[in-house]
Amino acid sequence: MENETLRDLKISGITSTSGGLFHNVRIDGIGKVVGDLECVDFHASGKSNVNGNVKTNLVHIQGMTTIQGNMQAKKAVVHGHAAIKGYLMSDDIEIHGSLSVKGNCDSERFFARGSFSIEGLLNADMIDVTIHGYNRVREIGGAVIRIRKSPTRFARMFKFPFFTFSSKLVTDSIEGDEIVLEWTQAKIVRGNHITIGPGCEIGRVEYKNDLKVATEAKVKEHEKI
Amino acid sequence: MTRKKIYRPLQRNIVMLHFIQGGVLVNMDENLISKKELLELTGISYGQLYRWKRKNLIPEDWFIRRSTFTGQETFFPKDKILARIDRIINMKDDLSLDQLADMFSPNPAEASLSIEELMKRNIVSQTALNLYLDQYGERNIFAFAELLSLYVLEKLLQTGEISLEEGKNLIQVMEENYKKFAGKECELLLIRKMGISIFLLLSSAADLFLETRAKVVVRMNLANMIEELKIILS
Repeated sequence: MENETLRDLKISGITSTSGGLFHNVRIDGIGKVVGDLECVDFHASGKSNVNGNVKTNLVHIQGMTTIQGNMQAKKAVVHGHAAIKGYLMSDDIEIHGSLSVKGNCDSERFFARGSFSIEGLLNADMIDVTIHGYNRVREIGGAVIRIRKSPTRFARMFKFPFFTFSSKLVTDSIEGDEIVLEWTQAKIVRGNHITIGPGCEIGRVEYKNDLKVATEAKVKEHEKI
Repeated sequence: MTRKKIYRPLQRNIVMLHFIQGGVLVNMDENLISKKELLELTGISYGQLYRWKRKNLIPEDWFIRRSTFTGQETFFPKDKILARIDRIINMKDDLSLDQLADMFSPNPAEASLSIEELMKRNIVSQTALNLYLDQYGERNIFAFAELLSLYVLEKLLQTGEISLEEGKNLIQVMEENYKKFAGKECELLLIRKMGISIFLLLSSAADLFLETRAKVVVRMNLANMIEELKIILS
């Protein structure tokens, strides 16, 4: 992309504009983009809605963003709330707020400290999730999958377990080489090295090398293959 | 009666589902391999399989989801996936995953060759080349789409499945229609009945039923041809 010839797109008030090819895109107010958006940097702080696909290098979402199409980005950081109606493809995904994806979510690294819901397959080399809130994924696949939970600050302060009960991760299947789970509900877990921690409810575990199950976990059946 | 009314749409949905998944389900003779067996057989790990899927080295529609008594399982068309994984393992030391993805994708490559190059590398025989040049006039440089028609023509002429006259029709159907299929899985068919031959281009795997006297002479997956051609060219 020739950066010199590309213009920036900045929305600060309430505007609707058409998509296209840009250098930096920055939306601070309430912005609506109609059409596909291709840019180097996509930064959304207000409430924004893109009626098309987004292809960018770095995407940073701090407000509330809805993308009606697919999103492709080198790096995606979500601090606010992002809803993507298509698939999300990125090398690096970081979630501190909340993310919902209708399609598949492909990434080399998937790092989540917020909540997310993915209706397709979450496919990433390294999946690192700290559970906050209710997370739903249809399928998870990758090399290293770590799902842990640290109690919320409020709950930790009062040692009050109520807030921690509803937050968990629910999925149909998890497949990976190295899997560490906590507070996860899954129908089936397949992998080489599996550690199942407290709060898990697993239907069936199929493992190749080793399996560790914490006493607080519920595993209906397990089999070494 | 009311019961029937409720269930009828449901049944229709089930039938529909079979059709939607059909691409592969229709070809029931094709044997399938479960993901578990595949990993055991090839010795690759989940991480690798998912990485290749992510890089589009393994197409999405090879992942066939079926319910088994242990829950949902994923199956693959056995021959295709084993050949593909074998090729990936052999070539991944020389090429990056992205280059491999380019090679396997049904998208045409950015390549062109001159006539001298073509003859020197023995990709196409003189007969096939002459036939092509007769049809489309003299030229020196061939783009990928043209190379593909030439390559397919050469292949079919060599197996003796088509005559020179039919070769002309083949070039025509490829040149005129292949662009519409670019980037998709596509099949080439030759049907013959009582000495009359018809070429067909079909998108993806469809079921085909013919009258008794008609015969499918050639059924060729063009994606495989593209892959072969890309390997030859690279």
